[in-house]
Amino acid sequence: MLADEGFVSCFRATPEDVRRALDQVEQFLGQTEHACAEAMIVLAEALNNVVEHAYAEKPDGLISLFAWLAGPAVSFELRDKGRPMPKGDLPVGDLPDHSTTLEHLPEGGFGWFLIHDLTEALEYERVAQENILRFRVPLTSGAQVSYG
Amino acid sequence: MKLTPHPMETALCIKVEERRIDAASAVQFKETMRSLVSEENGRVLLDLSQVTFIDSSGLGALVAVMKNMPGQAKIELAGIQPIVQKVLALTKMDQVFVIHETCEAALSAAQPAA
Repeated sequence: MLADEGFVSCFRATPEDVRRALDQVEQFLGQTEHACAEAMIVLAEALNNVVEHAYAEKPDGLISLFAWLAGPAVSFELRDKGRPMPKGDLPVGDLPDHSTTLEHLPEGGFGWFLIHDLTEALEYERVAQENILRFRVPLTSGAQVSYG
Repeated sequence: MKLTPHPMETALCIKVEERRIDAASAVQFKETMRSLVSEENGRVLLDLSQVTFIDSSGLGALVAVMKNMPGQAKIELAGIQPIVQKVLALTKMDQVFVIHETCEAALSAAQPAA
């Protein structure tokens, strides 16, 4: 299926650059009449993972981001030349347990759960020292919800 | 990270004057909150009506803030916007926080049992 529209960006792996990239993707998605909250949530998590883990917060790493609309979904491909995924594959992404006492409440582990929960066709491969993460997020009909 | 305290009769309202609590701002959020609530011993309401986006770092920061409240102080959330609501609901962490429509509603509601 041919994509209707595409978005490409290459930016440094810093939290501030990630924010800017997310702004741009939101603008790109804004041209659809679909709500894109889920897409923004997932993309933020995936990009944060590259910053924090693939590049272990080295600010000179580059991230390539491709996004394209195909029917009622947006597909993404993220590429980086950082460290490979531990164990060479996607983390499982179980939902951290919220039913514990206050002192044991989880402060992390939500990211991969959100990615798994909200995406279709999530896949990871490492090719020639490059991490490639692909996923698709269905867009729901309805009013635009601003990313911020 | 701009957080503005508004002391009220029965609670301290803290308004988050940022659009996002995310990877770029989560640490600063936690640190600023820690200093704002350090002398508190009662009800603290966090007004999130301007926050339109939170990621898992931001969610973790909210949990950390809740866990680290001093003494008998308890934090409650108010004015949750759609994406924040969605992230809380998807992770089921909306069951962990006390959440109000607005700070005003929170103030007129009786303080929830500990």
